[in-house]
Amino acid sequence: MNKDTVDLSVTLGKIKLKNPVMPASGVFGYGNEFADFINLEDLGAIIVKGTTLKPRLGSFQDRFVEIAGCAALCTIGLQNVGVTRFITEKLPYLRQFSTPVIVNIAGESTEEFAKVAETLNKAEGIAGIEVNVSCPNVERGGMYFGMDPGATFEVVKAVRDATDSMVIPKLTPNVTDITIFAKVCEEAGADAISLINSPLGMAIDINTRRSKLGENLTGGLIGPWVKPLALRMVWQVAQAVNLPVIGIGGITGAEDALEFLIAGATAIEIGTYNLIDPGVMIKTIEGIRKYLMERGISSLSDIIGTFER
Amino acid sequence: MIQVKSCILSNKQLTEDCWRITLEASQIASEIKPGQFINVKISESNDPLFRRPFSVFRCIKLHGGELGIEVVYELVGRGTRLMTNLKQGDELDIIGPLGHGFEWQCDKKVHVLIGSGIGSPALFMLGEEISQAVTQHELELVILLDAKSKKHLILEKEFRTLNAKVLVSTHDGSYGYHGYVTEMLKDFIDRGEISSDCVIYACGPELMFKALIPICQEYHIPAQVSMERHMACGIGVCLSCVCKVDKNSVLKYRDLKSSHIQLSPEEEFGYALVCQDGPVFNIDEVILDE
Repeated sequence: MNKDTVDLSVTLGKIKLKNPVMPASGVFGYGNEFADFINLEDLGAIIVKGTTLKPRLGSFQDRFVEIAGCAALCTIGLQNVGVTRFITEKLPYLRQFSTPVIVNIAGESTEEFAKVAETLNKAEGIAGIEVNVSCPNVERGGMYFGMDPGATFEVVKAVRDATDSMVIPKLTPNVTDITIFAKVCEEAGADAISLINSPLGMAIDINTRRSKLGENLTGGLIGPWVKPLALRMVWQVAQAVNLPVIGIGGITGAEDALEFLIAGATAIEIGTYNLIDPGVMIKTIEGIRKYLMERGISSLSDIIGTFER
Repeated sequence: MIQVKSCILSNKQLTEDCWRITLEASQIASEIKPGQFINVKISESNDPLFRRPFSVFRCIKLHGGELGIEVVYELVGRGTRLMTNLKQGDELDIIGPLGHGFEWQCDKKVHVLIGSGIGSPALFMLGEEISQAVTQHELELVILLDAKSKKHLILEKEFRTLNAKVLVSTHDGSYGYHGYVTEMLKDFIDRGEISSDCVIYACGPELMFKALIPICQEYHIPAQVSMERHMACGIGVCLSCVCKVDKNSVLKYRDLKSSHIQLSPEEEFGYALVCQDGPVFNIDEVILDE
């Protein structure tokens, strides 16, 4: 078996990806930042920075602190250029590639999510919308949409009604039973589900007795540490719904990615590790190909969800 | 910017807590400009997980036409402690050159470099550039080095090889001027020994920049300062290493460089990226809190 006879393509709802590897939102900017390191044409899909209706300033300073033992806390607060500037200034660059573009969206109200989706629906060249439900719902006292099954349903349904693109809710792990939320997304008309967003964490400076994230207090826990938690949740969700699942959390290379695929993920997103090694996605694609070749498996789809108890 | 595997040529201790590492990195060395930095993966393992950003002290010619870069670093935590264990022949994964460095301001004749502690290495390449032009363009180069005490002072010998007047301040008075470098600067300007018609380039703690602000305002001195932040990526995507800048700077960076900066709702400030818009900013554009 040679390199070219291994089929790495996967079908994710309405779109076909040439391979299952894509960047997680927020670690890849708008793609052009990585052009010195990789060819964007080689990726399964491109997922851009979380986009809101209006530009957002982001969190206070002190947004990032490394935690000993393969992790960090970070809180960026969705700093972004807003959907209008995204479409006029960032999207044209991405259209030159055949790689599907998925836009991660966020909002403070169901209406805002719908408006962002509606605005994107009028633009050319967007294959999917990833719905970041890990944002505070201002209308319900700041509780995350994704921690409330009712609010999750409303948001996913509103985005579904506002767009013809793929709808991919991205679930938060900060819930008691993530399968409930996955099922709610399925009922609301999602085409796929991605998980997990970062678990919330905290770190304290014992000298000042203040948060190491300053005024931001808490942040998302990121890095390889997250993988076992994410893998368990992906495995659970893959069994609970009849939708393709995208695995996210602590992936640093092909071995991690394969664990998610075997657990039932159709595709994977690499987050934090892109910040450390801008070439990690390409290495992961090649590593998956090598794994299949060595085992004489001609198609990646033959290993998805093959986990054995 | 490029990502390369770089061979370590030497790694030597300079003072109690400062080391100098020399790396073979021809391509980065041939492209890097004063004030830019490199981002180093110190360990092949995932702990520490993130790269560490370091300013480059200088570029050197190696045998066989290759180029090397030298980084002077301070032992401050787990990452730099591991770095002190690296040996000649080990390889490091580095990304560079990164960021927006110092801009040599040609309309001024007097150029003052102010380096405090581990901030001084970041000024050396700029010093070299200006030094080479001193005679031809009738410039005056003044270098102020600052340290807690004589035993903490680094690179004095190297800075003294430049065509410059080098002045040293120590906080405990064990060598040179007794006091902070900003006090020394003000004394020398007040006495006319440093012309106030100068431009300042500074690298050091933010407290030093805060002390520089009133001096720059009093004498209308333009200054460029190199900011420091914890960074996750160094390439302008994670938006972690932000620094508060004023409204005019937000508009400037939004139009020219950064693809992410926004103006606050009150239109007073925004967050620039230290890794991409900086690390060098004009002192009057950064907003230093508290």
